[in-house]
Amino acid sequence: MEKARVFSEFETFYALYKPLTIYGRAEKEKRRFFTDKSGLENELDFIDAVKSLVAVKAVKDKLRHHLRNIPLIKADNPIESSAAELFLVRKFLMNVKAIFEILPESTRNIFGAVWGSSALLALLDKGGRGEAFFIADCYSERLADKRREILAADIKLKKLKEKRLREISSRYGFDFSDRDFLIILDKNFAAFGEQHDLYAEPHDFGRLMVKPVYGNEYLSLAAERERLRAEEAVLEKKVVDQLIYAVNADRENLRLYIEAVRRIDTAVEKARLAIDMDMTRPEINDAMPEISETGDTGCTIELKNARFIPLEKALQKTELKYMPFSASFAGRINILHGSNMGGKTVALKTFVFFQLIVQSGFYVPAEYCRVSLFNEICFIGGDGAASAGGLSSFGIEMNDFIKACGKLEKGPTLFIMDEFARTTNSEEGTALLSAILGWLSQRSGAFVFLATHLAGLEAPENSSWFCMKGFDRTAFGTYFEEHSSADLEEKLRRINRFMCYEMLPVSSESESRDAVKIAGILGVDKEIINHAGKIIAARKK
Amino acid sequence: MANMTTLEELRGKNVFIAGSEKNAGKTTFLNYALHLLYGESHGGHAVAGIMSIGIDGEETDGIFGNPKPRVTVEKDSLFICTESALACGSLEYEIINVYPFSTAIGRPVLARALRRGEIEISGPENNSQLAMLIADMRTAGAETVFIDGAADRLTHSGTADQSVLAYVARVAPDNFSSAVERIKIISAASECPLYLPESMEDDGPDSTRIVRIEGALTETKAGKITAASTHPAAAPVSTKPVLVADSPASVFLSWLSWRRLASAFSIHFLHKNTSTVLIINLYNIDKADFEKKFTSAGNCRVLYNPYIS
Repeated sequence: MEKARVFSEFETFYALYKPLTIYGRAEKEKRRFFTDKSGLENELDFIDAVKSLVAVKAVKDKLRHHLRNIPLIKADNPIESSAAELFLVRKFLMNVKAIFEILPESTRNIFGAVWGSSALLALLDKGGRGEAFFIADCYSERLADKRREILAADIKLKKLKEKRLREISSRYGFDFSDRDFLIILDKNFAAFGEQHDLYAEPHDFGRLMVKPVYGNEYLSLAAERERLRAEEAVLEKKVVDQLIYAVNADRENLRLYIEAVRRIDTAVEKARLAIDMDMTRPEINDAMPEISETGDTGCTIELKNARFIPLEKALQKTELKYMPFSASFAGRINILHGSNMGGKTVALKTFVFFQLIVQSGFYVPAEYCRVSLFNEICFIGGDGAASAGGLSSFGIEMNDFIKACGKLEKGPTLFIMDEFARTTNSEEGTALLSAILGWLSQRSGAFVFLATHLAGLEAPENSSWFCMKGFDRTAFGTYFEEHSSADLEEKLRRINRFMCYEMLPVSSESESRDAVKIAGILGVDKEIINHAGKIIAARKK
Repeated sequence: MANMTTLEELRGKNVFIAGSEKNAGKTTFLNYALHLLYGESHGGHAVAGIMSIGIDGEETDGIFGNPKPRVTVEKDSLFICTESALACGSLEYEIINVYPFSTAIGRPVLARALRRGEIEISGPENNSQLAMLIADMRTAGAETVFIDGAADRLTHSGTADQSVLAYVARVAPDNFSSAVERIKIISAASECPLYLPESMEDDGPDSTRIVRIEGALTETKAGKITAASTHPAAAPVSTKPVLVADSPASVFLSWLSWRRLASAFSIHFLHKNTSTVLIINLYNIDKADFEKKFTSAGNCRVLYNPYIS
């Protein structure tokens, strides 16, 4: 599967999928791959349920605001007793409630979003101010009393301190109002003789650090204040314990809210992508396409004006226009034949991309999309490098193929083969590929989409042959006759304008040969082109 | 009054307090600045945000030798601490946010003091967390954000923010030369420009003449690149190759090595504060003697012995 993801540049799209809650992000990281139709339809139903809401900007913004504000709480085990946890639970509940209130009842039911924590939230709200939470006096009369005592002590301490600082100021001229200590010269301090209201210790040579001495009454009161604070802390802890007890009593609800939030978050984000990227709901076949000879089984795989997002985004950065892709597959063995530069690899990538996007539970960027579900998507092909880990590209392909065959036992498997055996000689490559196609055609769980330019394939009779509609050669040729000075880079840049990414069914391989024509259009000498044409004609005879 | 004018310039900024060494008096300066700017008789309606970076292992206050320095927080001030510190503080608080990441000492909590008191502050472990905490403090109403930094892990702000480095130095006979050298480097580094790649492409030297030093700029690294440099020391700055270091705090050189390097390269920093205040606490050193060695503070503001009356 990983190779298929890389080949189809699926991550380019997946990176755009950004759930807002920690639960949604965890779900994203699971990279679910739906292989059962009902599970997938259910996931798509979630998107349907919120799509119209997300289409309204104000509603979308509200939903996203509350989703973004949902903190992480862990309701699988009893929640630990702390004020911080109470803050998190309250913030969680406030935002969950707000999200549930935005959704109509019918939508709430789809997501299992049933609110049942009004009492708990009301209890926590007693300590709430906006999103902030504090251990309010109203939770405990004893706590309130203790805090009043602390406040009274603080006021008294302040008065005693101010009185003492005024006395020191008038007696010595030292102003401690802005600081806890002063650094003064020894001689300035010594001039006052013995003092009982100042404490001094050496700071450095010739200077002392001096602090006020506030007196016994102050010290006694400060000690009393510390005792009161310790008692306050005990009472606060009791309140926290009581509140956490109430939270844990409602833990099953919290767990259900987390599940609902996860579903809502991912659905809202998928709906946002669907709207932003003009996506449609895919249709899902009950089974795989049969061999084409059996006729229309209702299991055709079809893409109409499908946009391969990674390429579309890349082209947006240039002046090139992206051309969507269309194709229809009624059978299991599908061979896309044609020369280079016809868009075969893009066609394969688009197909895999759509298969992944659907089976990951998204809407699709296409006018119409119907797919079958596979247990596994296997990309069989080299990575372009001469060797990897000691294996040649050919070796890697064979290894991929053997592994993919192993997957067949577990269920329907999609085989994607891009220029299979391209690195070996064409005679052996063609023979091997022909044999593989014959073998796979006899395995009902195998769906093959192969792109190749090897000539002389002996494919099974029930194979479907395609070519890329490719260039509008007439228009392309006319254009470059008028712009004959265009260099190769310019020609390549413009090719896309004349490219049609549509797969056309053809009756055999020979109809799809166009390499010589393309070479001519790109400016290869006409004499060479004509000679090549004659050689092909002679071989056919 | 000069002190107060300098302190007033901190108002509204992100103030990174760093020290020349452990027990240099960072937290003492923090309490001093907080008291003068946001104390009961000075703060008005504005509030401060307070956090600390890293755990530097200090167990005693350099001035008083008190156990683990705690910060006195006025009512309504914002602070970052751990959950456990909340329970141990002497203030009443409301929790504004609890962060999903955890540091070595626990999960950071942003809180507001509902009653004046003392608390052990803490903070983030990396710059992205720091940016988040500062932003949240600003949103919650902090006018000035104080970041009490660890001695060897000076942290910087993003270029967009107005940030001040408050460098607290303890200068005594036992460290006179090294402390002065360090202060001179901090001062000289504060004059070096911020590295902006886009401006380099337009006006500056090409990329082949940019030397990037990752991590600490040490004597060994400086020696190697200075030896490799063929640039004449007397050449104008605009033609010198560029040396890009992390931040002024990543420079661990002698003054001599710094000067050699600055002769050969135009030194830039990836991160630096927009201004610098030097808080010089002299112990058994005359200011005049100190100024004989530290002749120019450049653009830096200098506060000498702020606690002396």
